[in-house]
Amino acid sequence: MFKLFRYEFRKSLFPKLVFLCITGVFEVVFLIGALGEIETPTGIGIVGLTFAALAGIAYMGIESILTLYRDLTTKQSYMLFMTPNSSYKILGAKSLENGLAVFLSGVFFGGLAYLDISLLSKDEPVFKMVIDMINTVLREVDPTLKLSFQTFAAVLFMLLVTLILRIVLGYFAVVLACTLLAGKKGASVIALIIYVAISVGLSFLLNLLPEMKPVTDMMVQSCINLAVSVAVYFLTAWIMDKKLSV
Amino acid sequence: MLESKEITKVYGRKTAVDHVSLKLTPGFIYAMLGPNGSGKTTWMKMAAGLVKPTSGRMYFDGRPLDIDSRRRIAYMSTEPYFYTWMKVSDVGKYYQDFFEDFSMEQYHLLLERMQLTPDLKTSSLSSGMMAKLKIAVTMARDSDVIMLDEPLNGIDLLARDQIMQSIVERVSERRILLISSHLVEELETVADYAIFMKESRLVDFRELEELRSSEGISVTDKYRQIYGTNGGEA
Repeated sequence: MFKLFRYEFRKSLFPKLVFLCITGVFEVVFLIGALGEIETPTGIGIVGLTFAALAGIAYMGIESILTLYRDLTTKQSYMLFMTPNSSYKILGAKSLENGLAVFLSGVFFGGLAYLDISLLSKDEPVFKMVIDMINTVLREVDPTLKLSFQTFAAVLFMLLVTLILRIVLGYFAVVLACTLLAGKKGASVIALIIYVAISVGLSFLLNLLPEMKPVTDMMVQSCINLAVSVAVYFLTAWIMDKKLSV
Repeated sequence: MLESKEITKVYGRKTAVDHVSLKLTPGFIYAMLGPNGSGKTTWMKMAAGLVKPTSGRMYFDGRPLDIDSRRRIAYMSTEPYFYTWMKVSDVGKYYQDFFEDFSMEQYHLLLERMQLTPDLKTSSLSSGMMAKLKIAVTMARDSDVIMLDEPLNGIDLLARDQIMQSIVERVSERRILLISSHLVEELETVADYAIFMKESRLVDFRELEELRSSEGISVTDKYRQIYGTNGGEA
């Protein structure tokens, strides 16, 4: 599976480099402003870096779904499906590459933000500033919430599972649309409709859960989402193996 | 042995392959003949596992086709299918990564014969060069089945000779070579059997020697007989 993973990474290298270049440009602008104590470039840098981080992570999140769509709707699909790799492996490599790309983007942008805030905050401890900011956001969500190890772990787990669920749901929608339409136009629209319908349906079902403490609620929802992700992953791979023609 | 039993593929309202039963045994070159839309490509894609049949089944060595069969079946599609970021050398590395029977040495030998260099970008290749690359990478596999879909398309006369020579060199007692082409005369010189497809159906399956001795006609004549002088593309 490592070889498949390597090629998945290579397929998505160009957009990754584009985001890296954009981030680099805004970082230079920010550094000019921060070190020279000039307000305008500092402001442009902060806005630009925030945009690059949000857009970058969001794009990484859907990038492998777009690649799968391209893989299935062009003749490049033969490169994947002629090889003696099962659909489980192909999807696994795609999920792994995508998950790792999002995680590393998060670490990269988080690290960059930490360094940049350190530069601006001077004497004030950065961690305290960050924790205060997170607590402010948490209080907006629920006044009883306060950052603790449990809350942090629950939020991290929820984010990870939500990401996995989004990716596998995207794969399922694309594979189902391509299987049903068999090369006809409009697969992207059908895939989007399937994706939205399943997401809305799932949210509706999760809302039926009884009221719980915020952290417990997050953990229960995450476990359900994880179970759905696993089921959807196997269903998607089965459709690819048995029904999909490329 | 590669075998299809009553295999059918339907796309919407169009039947691409209609109840085709065919048995190919190793050691021979098979020419799959027929005009566009007769079902040749779809049959080959089903044998390569790329297209799933609507009904019927494909068997390889007596077992239904599965992921493992792809290790032993090499297929060259008529359309270009390499990733656009690839160079000619990357194509070889890709095949080496996924197919144990791929020989890099053989690949380079074929590239040289086809006058292609490893540093060329696949996105910049002409259709003729692309056709040569597809043949080189497919024929560099030492697989039990080699299926070439229209390998002579877009290739000049001299290069055609090189390709036909490469095909003949790959003949082996354990190998099935299946080639589809509109250029019937070219295949007549190398093929052992001819498979005639018409309107999604198998209409005739003949040993060439037997055809010549029993009916006293060539494959080209038989092709004209089946498809008619106006309808055929020979």
